[in-house]
Amino acid sequence: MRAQKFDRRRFLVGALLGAALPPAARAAAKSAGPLKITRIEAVWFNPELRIQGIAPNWMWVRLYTDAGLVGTGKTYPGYDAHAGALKELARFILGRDATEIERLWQDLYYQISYRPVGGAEFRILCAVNIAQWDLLGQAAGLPIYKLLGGRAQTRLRVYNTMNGWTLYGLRDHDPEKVTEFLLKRGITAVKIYPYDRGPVNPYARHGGTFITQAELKQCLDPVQRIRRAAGDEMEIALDLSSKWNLPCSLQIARSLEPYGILYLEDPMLPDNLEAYATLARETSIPVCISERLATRFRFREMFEARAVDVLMWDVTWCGGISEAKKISDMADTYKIPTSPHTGGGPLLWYASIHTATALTNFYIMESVFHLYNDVYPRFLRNVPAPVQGHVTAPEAPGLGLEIEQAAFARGDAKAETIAVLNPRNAP
Amino acid sequence: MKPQGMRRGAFLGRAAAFAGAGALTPALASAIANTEPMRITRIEAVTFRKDLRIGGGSGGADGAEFCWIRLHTDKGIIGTGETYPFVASEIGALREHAPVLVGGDPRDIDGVWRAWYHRMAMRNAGGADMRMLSAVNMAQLDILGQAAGLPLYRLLGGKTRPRVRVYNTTTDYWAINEMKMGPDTGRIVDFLLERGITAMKIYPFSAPDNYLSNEALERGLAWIREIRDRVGLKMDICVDCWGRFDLPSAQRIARALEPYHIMYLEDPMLMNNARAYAQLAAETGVPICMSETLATRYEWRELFELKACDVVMWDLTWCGGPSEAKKISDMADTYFIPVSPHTCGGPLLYFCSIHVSTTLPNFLIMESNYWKYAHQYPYFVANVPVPVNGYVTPPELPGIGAEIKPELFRSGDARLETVAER
Repeated sequence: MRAQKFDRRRFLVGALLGAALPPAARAAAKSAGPLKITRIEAVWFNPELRIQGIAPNWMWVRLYTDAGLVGTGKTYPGYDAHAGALKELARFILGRDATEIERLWQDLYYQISYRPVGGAEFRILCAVNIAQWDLLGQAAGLPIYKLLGGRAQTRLRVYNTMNGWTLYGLRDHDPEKVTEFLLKRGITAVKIYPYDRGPVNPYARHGGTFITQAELKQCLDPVQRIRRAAGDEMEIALDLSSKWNLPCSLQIARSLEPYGILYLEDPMLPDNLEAYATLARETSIPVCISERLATRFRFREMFEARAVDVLMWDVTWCGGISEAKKISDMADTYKIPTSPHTGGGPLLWYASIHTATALTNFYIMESVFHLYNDVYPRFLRNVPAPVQGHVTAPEAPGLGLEIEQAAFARGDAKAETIAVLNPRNAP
Repeated sequence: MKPQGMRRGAFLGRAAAFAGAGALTPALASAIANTEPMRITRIEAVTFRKDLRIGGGSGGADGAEFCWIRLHTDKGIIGTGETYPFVASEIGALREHAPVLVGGDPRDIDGVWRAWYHRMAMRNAGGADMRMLSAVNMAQLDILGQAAGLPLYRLLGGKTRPRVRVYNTTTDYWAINEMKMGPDTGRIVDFLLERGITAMKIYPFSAPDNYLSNEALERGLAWIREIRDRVGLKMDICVDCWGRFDLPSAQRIARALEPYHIMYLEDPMLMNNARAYAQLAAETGVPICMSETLATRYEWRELFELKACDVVMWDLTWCGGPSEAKKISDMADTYFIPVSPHTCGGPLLYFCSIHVSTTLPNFLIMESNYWKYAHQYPYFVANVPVPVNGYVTPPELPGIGAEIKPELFRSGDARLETVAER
């Protein structure tokens, strides 16, 4: 590594002496790094705030570099555990070259995979990775999707998630009104939660261990009503929140078979992929998992077990932009499409749009009306909103964030310095 | 739950009326009192001075790499738990989860575990959250033991063996009197055998990347040859690789170790592909041990089914706590796989590992470290079980049974912080 760097520098010096490089190439050579990380900041968002009843439950990580560029990443939910993890991991991050995305991922992964991998520390790794991509994009003057292979999708189709969040008071047990609201805006797919929310809620009664025949039928009600209201114009996905055992999951899946379902998501916790393989074998409903899984190593197991039909990752949980792209490219070798999880903060939304734009095996992406319409604009000025049910990636360099400074002035967001590079301690 | 409690109360009232209140012995009366509802009233984090230096010839790290948590109850019983090593992460995780714990009954061991695990598994279980769950689980069992007046091992099924065999983990940074493997191999082996310790774990293989060169492989084998030449088979040898290598290097290491009757080869690769381990295990006669980096019976299930490991190693402050360590071990027993606990953390990890090991029908050998039990643990705890002829026994006091030194809290070595209260 050292020898290579030396060669490049020598080459650049030589080139500059000869003044053979055009100005654009010279600027690019300068921004190719190293971008030394000199300061790490965490941004806290006021959890007491309510916007359309929704609280900001995410945190940001900002990496400052000696080149003056600042990269921003994020994860969620909550602040304390993540800020604590960032404090512990800062010593492995400070002084590193932010453009060495792959190397830093491996080094942090090795550190945290020793005790056991996952949780807040792994989510911080995701946030750091996103901030690194933001920096690389800014340095190169390119939006992130162009660094990931470029545009594979001209626009991204979205569905709307009815995860307890209302549409101006409408819930997923007002299926006709919800359908009308979404179709009017060109959104032709919806995800609903009849098994652990709404009027029937068999989970509340049995804790995911049992479901009666009557409840199975009652839970079909919103599905049937959407079909009656909109025919096949509306796609329907169902999320089971990983709350069920295998026999209940099977019964639910079978009961949904006649309805042309987009997919059944997370019926069980994804901690036994053989159980998912059984489910996939026994039902014709496409099964989708799971934003709860992280790293290509875990997804490999899922692919090999023939456990699912549709892949879902959360780019702020699964290992960041690098890992999400790797997982999707691997899924492509199994002809499995990707459906990103996005319901957790504006940077997740931006990062998912960039990553999904670069995927050849993109399926459909989650979106939440009040998040992109009301919540995110409080923090960012250029939030991509769906047009005719589709979103497109911003063209500004990096993530392309236009941060709303007023959020900091209002006290809705506060920055905390986590660690500063002491030049004497630089690695 | 409620109606049962009422019936029991009524029964006790009748019993007291029948025999006269004086008929209940104090022990029985207190046992009955402890069957009544109990609530967690306060949760504290205990962290240690960063510049604490214990000394004792560790050759490197010699502070406190762990943190404690304390669960206070309305019965006056205080349970203590422990985890490590990224303390700020762990206390952060405690802050996130403490509001859910306060007010609950600490004796609902599996209920608390299941609810917390499900919450954490919503976004990739593990890390600081899993370590803190492990610490809380330990503190809950400590409370249950104190309430029942029984040492922890008795709550987990009692003794399957009178004493627990230990090996010594031998590293440069937790050294025996500054001695280093390589230059001091012979002296270290003699030191251990003189004390009846007949097994050691060493780290002979290191490389800058995933590939181990033939030269580095030979350098590592030289340590093993020196031990064998000096004391023959009197010393059992475990070889740990810290998950550093790729599959071809792991295969070469295993092949090279075959003539030396190794007790086990631990963590030659990272633990994220059970099939790669299954391939290695199928190809070599050297027993493969993995891994304190894994957590929960759900992760272990796959390894057992794929025949990926020959020996189970958990760290009960990482894998989900003493109750999860027991469940993993019992599951391993159905595959005739033995257990070798990882204990190189703080003193309560060591105490609890002895308790759990004592109960395991499929126990193999437990990790120990001379510098830790001779110097580090006694700095914090008064009654540290020290190996006698290579074996340790659990304390007979209720709960974990560690007599934590009160002066830690007066000297400023330990810092107490209330994280949640009700």
